[in-house]
Amino acid sequence: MIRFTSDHIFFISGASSGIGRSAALLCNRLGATVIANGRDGDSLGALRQEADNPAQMLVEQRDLTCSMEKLPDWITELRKKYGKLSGFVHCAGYNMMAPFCNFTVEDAHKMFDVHFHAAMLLARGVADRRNHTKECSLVFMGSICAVTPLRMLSIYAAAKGAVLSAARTMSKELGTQGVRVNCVSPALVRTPLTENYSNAVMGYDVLHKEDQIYPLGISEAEDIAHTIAFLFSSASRKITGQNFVIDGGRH
Amino acid sequence: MTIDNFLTEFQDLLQRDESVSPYDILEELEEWDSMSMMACMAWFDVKLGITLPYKAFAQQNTIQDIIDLAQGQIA
Repeated sequence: MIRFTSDHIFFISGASSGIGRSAALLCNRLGATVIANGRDGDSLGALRQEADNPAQMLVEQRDLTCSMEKLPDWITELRKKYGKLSGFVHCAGYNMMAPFCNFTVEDAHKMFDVHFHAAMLLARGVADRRNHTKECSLVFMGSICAVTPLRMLSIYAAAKGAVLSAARTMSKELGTQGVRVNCVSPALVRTPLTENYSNAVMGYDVLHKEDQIYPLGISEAEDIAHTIAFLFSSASRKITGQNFVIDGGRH
Repeated sequence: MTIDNFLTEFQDLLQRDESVSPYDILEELEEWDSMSMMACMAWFDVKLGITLPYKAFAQQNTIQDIIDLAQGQIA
């Protein structure tokens, strides 16, 4: 069984909801100290209240797309404040479904800023030898659409594809200093975001319909969180440069 | 660029908490590996306009030897 101690300090972006929130709660429950980042202060406060070990759920409110160039320095500040990081997962992000003929540079910039640029700049901060422990694990959220084409997701798929490619390269560069780099690529996951989208935008229960098609059913956020916890743990100490597709056997 | 400024930059290139001196032997610095040599090579190129092969850095013994590669731009 995976167990962490309070000396395992994990930085989790996008921790105010969905997969990031589940990962933060799970890692905290397993004994780690979590630095939970999100934009919504109220949600982060609620996260702390729900945590098994509230004293080890440290919240840091920040919009990662503001002053992005300062993100590596911010990681250094967090290290000075809390201690060296043992893990990082970038869960911040959003999805936007649109046909390719609606492509705009502005949409692409927004998508790449949060999914790719923020991820790389945060990782650059964590990968600095001064900011991480001897063994450290970086986890990026990919997506099934980066490896399997799905309609209406061209920009999102491109941003996630960029993350997957960069992560593989990073694993080669950072391995010698004890930093592992992996990706987790979920297919459809039941989160507040997808539930809202399913009913409000599509007008019918997409999640229920898809759940019938996925051999193992669609994932809950906690299913993804368990993979993240595994990748943070020493149980995965020889795994790097990999992409874990979690799709319930759908693709 | 002054030697003191370079030493600060070099410490940052190494991503090292402790300060460094010109007399430090590179081989004895835990952080001096192939990636930090590449970072140093890129720094010379971008900051000083001096393009040197990887081998030039790999062959040096002390930080002073690295400073000497700067052709007088670090003094």
